[in-house]
Amino acid sequence: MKYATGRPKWSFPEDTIGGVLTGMTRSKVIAQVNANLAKSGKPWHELVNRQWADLLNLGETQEIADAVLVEFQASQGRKFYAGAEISVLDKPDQYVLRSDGDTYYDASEFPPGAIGDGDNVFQTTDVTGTIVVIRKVADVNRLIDDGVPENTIAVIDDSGGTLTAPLLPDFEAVICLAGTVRSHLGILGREFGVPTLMASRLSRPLENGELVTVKFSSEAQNAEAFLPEDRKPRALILPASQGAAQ
Amino acid sequence: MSEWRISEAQLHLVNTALAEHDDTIVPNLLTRTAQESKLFPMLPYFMMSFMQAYYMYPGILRKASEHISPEDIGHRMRNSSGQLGTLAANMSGQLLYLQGRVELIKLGVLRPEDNLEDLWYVIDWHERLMSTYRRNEGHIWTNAAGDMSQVLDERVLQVLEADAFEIDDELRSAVARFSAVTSQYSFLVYCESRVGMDANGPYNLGDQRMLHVRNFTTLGESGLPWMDGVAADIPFQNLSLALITDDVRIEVTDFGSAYTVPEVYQEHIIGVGLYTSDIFTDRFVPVGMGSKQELIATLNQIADVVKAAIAPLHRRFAQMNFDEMTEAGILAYVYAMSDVSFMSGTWDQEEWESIDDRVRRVWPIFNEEFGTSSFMSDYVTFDGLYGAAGEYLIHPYSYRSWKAGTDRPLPKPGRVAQFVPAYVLNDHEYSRRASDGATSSRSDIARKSSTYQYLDGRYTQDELNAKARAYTSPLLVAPWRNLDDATVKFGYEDPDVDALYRYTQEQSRLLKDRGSALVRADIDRIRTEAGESTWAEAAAKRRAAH
Repeated sequence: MKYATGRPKWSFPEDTIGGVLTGMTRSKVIAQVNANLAKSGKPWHELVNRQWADLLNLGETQEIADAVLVEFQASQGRKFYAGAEISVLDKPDQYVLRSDGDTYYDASEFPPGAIGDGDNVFQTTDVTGTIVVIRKVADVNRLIDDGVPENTIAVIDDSGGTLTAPLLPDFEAVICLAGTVRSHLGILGREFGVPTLMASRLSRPLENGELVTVKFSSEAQNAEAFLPEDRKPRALILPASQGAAQ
Repeated sequence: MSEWRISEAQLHLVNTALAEHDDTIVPNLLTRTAQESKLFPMLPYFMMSFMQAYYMYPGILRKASEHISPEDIGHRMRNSSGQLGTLAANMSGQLLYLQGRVELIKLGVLRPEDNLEDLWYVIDWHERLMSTYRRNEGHIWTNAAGDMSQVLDERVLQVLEADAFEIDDELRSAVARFSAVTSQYSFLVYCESRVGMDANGPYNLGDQRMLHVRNFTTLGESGLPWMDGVAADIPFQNLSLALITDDVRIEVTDFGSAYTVPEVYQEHIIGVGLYTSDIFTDRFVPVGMGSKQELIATLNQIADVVKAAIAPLHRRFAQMNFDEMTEAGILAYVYAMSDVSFMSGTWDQEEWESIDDRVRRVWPIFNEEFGTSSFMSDYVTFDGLYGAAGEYLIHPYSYRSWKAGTDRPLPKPGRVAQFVPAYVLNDHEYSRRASDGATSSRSDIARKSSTYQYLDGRYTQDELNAKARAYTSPLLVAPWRNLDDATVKFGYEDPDVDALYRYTQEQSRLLKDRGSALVRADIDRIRTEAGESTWAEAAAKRRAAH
C-alpha cells in the first residue's frame, strides 16, 4: 500500500480560521503537483528531489499566484494585506497596507471624553505630550534628519522593533496600535524606559500636533492573561486638558 | 545513491521526536507575539526560511560532522556563549528543518515518508547536540523542563556569582541602556527576529535570588553580508550579561527568550557581570570586570558604539526592495546554525548566502497575507486539508487552553506533527536525501566582502576555516570533557576536577586558584573578605530601599 493520492482521509474545509487564502493557494498548488505527477508517469520518489521542476516549477507557481490574486480580489473585494511598507511600494498591484484600514471603535466603548485606550507595558507616571504619527520609513528618515521634537508621543501602527529603531529612545512615550506587551516594540519600550501602550484602540485618528495625556500610571498589563478576568484595566488616552484633571 | 534503510526503532524515535517538536513549537508560537514589521516582509521570509533549512541543513550538518561531532559542539556551546545557544541550536536542529518539512508537505510537494535518511539524521544530530549541551539538567527542550535552561556547569556559575558587581544607580542605568540599545540593534541585525539574543538560567542563589545569563550574539562583522562596514567598530562579536536578581520569576523558553514577572525586572537586579566568548574561546572572558567603575564605563562605551551603528544599518535595509529584504530575512533565520560550519572549519559564504531553487519556486505564492494565513493555519488552528491528524485526536496544548474555558467546543483534532507512516518498513521505497544531485541555488543580495570578527582577530574565510580545523581545548578531551556536575558531586577532591576548576577560575577576580572544593557559602565568605556584599546582603539592601 502506498501513500497514493495526497488526499487525507480526515480533513477540514480550507476556508476555516486559517484563512481563505491558505485553501485557495494550497489547493491550486496541490492540484498542479498531482497533475504533473500523473502526466510524468513516474513514481513519486523519483520526482520529489532530482526532478523537482517536473513536479512544480517557478513558472507554474507564478501562474498560480496570478490566478489567486484575481480570485482573492473577486471574493474579498481587496488586495492582499501587507504589514511591510516595502510590499506596497514594490508591488502596488498586489498589496494594500493593513494599517491603511485602521479600525476605529465607537466612542461609547470608552469612558466619557477618552480618545482611546491600550495595554500598558509598565507602570509609571502619566505623560502629556504632542502626537507625532509614524507610519512610513520616510517619516523615520525625516525625524532622523530633523531630530525628534521635545515631548513627542509617537503613534506607531507597527509592533515591530525595527521601523523606529533609530528613534525610540528619543520619544517621550509611544502609543502602538498593534501587538501585545510582549511584542518587540513593547520589549524595547520597557528596556529603554519609554512609556508604551500596546494594542491601542482609538475612537478616532490621532493627528500630528495634537496634545494628549496618556494614563501610564495604570497597572501594567498581565502578559499571560488569557482569560478576560485576568486582564488589567486598559490605560486611557485623553485630551490633554481632560487628562490633567483626572 | 544512499542505500540507508530506516529501522523500526528509528521510525519510532523519529515520530516521538516529531510529537515532542509539536508539543514544544505550539506553545512557543502561541505565547509570543504576532510576526509583524513595517520594515521587513516577515511572514514570507519566515515561512520560506523553514523550507530553505529543510533543503540546506542536512548537507551542512553532514559536512560539519566530518570534522566535529554534535557532542563536540554541545560541549563548546556550554563552555562559551556564541551564536549557538538554546534558540539557535533548536533552530539549527529541529525547529526550522521540521517546520520546513511541514510546510512542504502542506503544499503537496513533499510527502511524510520522503527523505527519511535526512529526517533521521537531523533529529539524531539535534538530540545528540542538545543532550550534550544540557547534560547537567537532562532535557532536550526547555518546554519539558518547565521553561528553564540550566545548562552551565557549577564551576562557571561559581565564577559568575562571585565576580558580579553589586548594583548601584549608576551601574543600573548603564546596564539598562546597554541592554536596550543592544536588543534594538539585534532586532535590526536579524531582520526583526530574535535570533541574535539568547538566555539561559535561572540558577538558584538561595531565598528569592536567581542568576540568569543574557547573550547578545553576532554584533560585529560576520557572515551576514549587511553587517559589512556598519559593524566594523563594534568591539565584540558576542557579549553575555550575567544578572543576579531578587524577587523575580524568570522563564527561559525554547526560543531563548527570558521572560520575567514582573516584566520590569531592572529594579530587581542586584548584581551584574559582563563577558565575551566565541568559537575560539573555551571560557567566558571578563569584559570591563576590573572594577565597578570600569564595568560602568565599558557598558556605556559599547552602548555608544552600538547605537551609532543603528541608523546606518537601518538605512541599508531601507534601501532594499521586497525580494532583497525577503532574501535577507531567510538568510538571517538560517544563519542560526552558522557556528556549526564555523566551528567545523567548513564555512562557505557563497553556500550560506544562496537560496535553493526549490525554495525560489514557491516565492511567487508567498505574499505577505498567504504567509500569515498559512502560519495561522499550521501552528494555531490546525485547519486546512492536512490539518487533521485523526478524528479522535485532541492536541495537548489546545486541550490545556480549552480546559481553562467554559462552554466552548473542543479544538480541532489537528496537530503540527506529520508522522512518518509505518508502512515504509514494508518495502523501503522512499527517497533518502533531499539534496543528492538535486541542488541549485543563487543569491540576489549584495555579497559579503569584509572579514570575520573574533576576539583574537579578524579573518578571511580561508584563514577562519584553517584556524577552526586547528582548534583544540583541554575541555574537549578526556579527562576534563567527562567531568560533569554529577561527577563533581562525589569526585570534587579528585586532582583532575581540581585542575578543571582552576582552569575555569583563571581569569576570575575573586576565585582565581580557589579549586574545586568551593561551595556557595565559600563565595559569601570570599566576597565578605574582599569587602563586597553577599547577595543576601545586597537583596536586603534593595528591599529596604523599596
